[in-house]
Amino acid sequence: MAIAIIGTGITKFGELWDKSWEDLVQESFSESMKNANVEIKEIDSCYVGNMNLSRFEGQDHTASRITEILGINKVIRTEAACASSSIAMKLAANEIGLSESKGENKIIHVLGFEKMTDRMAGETTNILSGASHFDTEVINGATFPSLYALLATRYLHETGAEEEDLHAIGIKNHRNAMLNEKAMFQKEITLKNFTGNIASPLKLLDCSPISDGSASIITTTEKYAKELGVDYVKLEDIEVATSSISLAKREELLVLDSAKRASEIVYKRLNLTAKDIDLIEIHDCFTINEILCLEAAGFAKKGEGYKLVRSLKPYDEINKKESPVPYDFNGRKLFVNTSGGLKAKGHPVGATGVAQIIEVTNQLLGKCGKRNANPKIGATLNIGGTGGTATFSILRC
Amino acid sequence: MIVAPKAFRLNNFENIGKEGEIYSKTKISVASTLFNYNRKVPYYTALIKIDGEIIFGLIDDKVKIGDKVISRPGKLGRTEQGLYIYGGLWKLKKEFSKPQTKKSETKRKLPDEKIGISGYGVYVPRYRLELSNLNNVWGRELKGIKSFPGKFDDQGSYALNCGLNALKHSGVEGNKLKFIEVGSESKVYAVKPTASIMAGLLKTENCFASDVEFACKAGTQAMVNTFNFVKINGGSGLAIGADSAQGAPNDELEITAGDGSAGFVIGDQKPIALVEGYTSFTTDTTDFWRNDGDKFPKHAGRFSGNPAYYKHVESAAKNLMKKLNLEPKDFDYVVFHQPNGKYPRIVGKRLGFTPEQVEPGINFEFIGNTYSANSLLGLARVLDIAAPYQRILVVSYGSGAGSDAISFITTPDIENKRNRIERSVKSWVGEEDKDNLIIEDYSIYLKNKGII
Repeated sequence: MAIAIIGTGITKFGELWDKSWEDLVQESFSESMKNANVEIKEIDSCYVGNMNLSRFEGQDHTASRITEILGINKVIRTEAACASSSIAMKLAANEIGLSESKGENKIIHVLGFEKMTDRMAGETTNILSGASHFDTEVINGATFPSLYALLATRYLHETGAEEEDLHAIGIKNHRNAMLNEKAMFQKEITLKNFTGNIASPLKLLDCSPISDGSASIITTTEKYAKELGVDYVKLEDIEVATSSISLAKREELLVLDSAKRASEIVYKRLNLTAKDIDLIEIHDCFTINEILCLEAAGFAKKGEGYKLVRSLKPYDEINKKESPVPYDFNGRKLFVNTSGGLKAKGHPVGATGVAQIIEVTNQLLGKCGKRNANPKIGATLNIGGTGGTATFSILRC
Repeated sequence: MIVAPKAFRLNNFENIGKEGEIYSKTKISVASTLFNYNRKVPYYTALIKIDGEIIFGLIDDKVKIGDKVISRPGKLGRTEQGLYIYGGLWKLKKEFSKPQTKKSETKRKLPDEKIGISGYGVYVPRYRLELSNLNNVWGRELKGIKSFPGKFDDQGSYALNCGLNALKHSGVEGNKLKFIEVGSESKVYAVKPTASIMAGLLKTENCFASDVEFACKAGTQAMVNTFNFVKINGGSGLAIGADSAQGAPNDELEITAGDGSAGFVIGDQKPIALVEGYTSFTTDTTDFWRNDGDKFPKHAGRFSGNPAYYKHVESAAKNLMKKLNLEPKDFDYVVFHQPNGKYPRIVGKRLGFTPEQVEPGINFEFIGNTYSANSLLGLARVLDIAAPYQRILVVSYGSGAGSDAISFITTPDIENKRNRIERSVKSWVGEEDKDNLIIEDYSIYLKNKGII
């Protein structure tokens, strides 16, 4: 049962010195309300995804604090690391679906936000590592980049992929972000910029940045969206799957099995395949993960995702290509991370899931200006941790 | 981050001793603040395949996929609460040179009491500082080399590693130990024994465990205490000398202070060397001391020779020879505490020993002065080559001041058990297997010693 996205709002992502997290939440919410043509009192509830306001900003009891800021008096907070707000979206979709079956038309605000830059980088790395297994990974010195680096090392070892293929993803996503004013980075990069080891083989520019940001969606039943007479996009389906939090406990190290299961369920329910998708916002927290996500969501076989990236060759000419830059997917264009992705748009972890859905929504509505890719069907794949949680969704007009 | 409540299960030892193969690896250049990891960059972590299962682990070497590794105790880090973690640290599995008997025709008579050393093990970090590094910094003209800690080393990891090696050699099961004593003057905790960490690693709960301090002689003190405990109570005990020796920058001690450890399982389980007798000599001589709360020891310079080292070492050695009715020629090897290269050789000569008796036990030129481990490492070095029925004299020295003298006679089991030793003391100290050493400069030395 599809639900309607009738309003979206997103702040600029980046190191936002002069804004508090409350400012960001208020800003994205206000923007989403402009499109939606509803009043605050009509909003039934708010599902808010946030990873760690507690350790970043010292504030627990997030939901109650959000009530105080936004004036919505039924707020529920969800947490699943970087997938926190796509889980919020899933719960909102469930509630709207349930309300529709009872003949009601609930309006729900789905919020995702994170304020990460108020901590020193080493401390932020420490806080983020809480999304991996504390007693085995963190205690032994794991950082998030290092866990993805272990995936990258093994991927490069098992497949024909090379480090340059990872870097090409970063170059493409930076190129896409050039046309996204909300993106953190507005800078083209080339292979030469990939210096500075973070966790080998991942260089600084293979990693998404630490960012602040907030993203809001107003959603309701499709029936009520029509009554309101506003532009809307249908969230056709959204599904969540979880897997072991430890990298070492995965059945197959290089298969994001949670993402694979979530996407397969959605494809089956909608009778679609990856071939039907024109555009996807995918979880490129580290460049290697764009490849692993593409494989998990059916765009490539296991160990062959890097071949999609190779369609961007020659890599030193990516910045001369049309923008946004598509992959060649069996002879047709596949747009991945037109927003710039987590890599270049920024990755305020709690905001990312909702931000991905907003990019696809605006693409489907043709509201992305110069980076419009004119998709018919769009999708999102949001990952928590190293694949412990995954949310896959499909949207269309 | 609060981890104190889980401290009791923090030292996760479950993988120690396991062997595996590198499945994936990464070199980390940017670390989190947690457990001081940002002071250890760059370091390596890996996914390691053990019996078809994959686990995550911290690596002490540069590795590649497919390399064989083995898990050892290592200082992984310290929490904000100041708790150290010694769980599994993976190291490359290598082959090292093994000890070889030096044949002998002499046959000393074994003592009646069949209690002695059932096994021994040592641990010396791979890192070495060439002393010439100090020349430009401090205007000196030094030569020589000494050991210093790796990123994941400290007195705790030294004690645990040499203890495990000693147990392996002895054939005694760690959980059967009744007594553990660790001698040190660089304990990782001011209050909390390293011996209890060792007991935890070995899962031996019905056990007396404590640390003992007497400057550089605490190791032999632990050995005598262990001997006496097992003599009265039976069973086996473990005596360890382990130190990450302290010396302030530009102090004379900085030139000599080294790192290492040696452990001895003592009891009646197929001893390789029996205790024939021991004496101790103690006076109130303040030649070298460290005030409570100070990071580095102080010393009284010229005071160290005659009134301190020579007087105590000579008195203890003479008293023991008198007690056992022996002369220098009755010993095959003699090991003296080695605060430098000069003292043990001079004291040997003064007491009437020959260079052939003294030289085989000297490690100083390769690792410096390892404080509580010093004379024990010398003893281990001699045990590596000793034949059955040989007599060995060990004389330690600890500032403050005192000397212990112990006489051992080797048994045929020294030959029978030698093939259990995977690595000779000569390899550990770097006289052999030089390619295993990591030579680093003064800045890495200062960082790893925790001085900067």
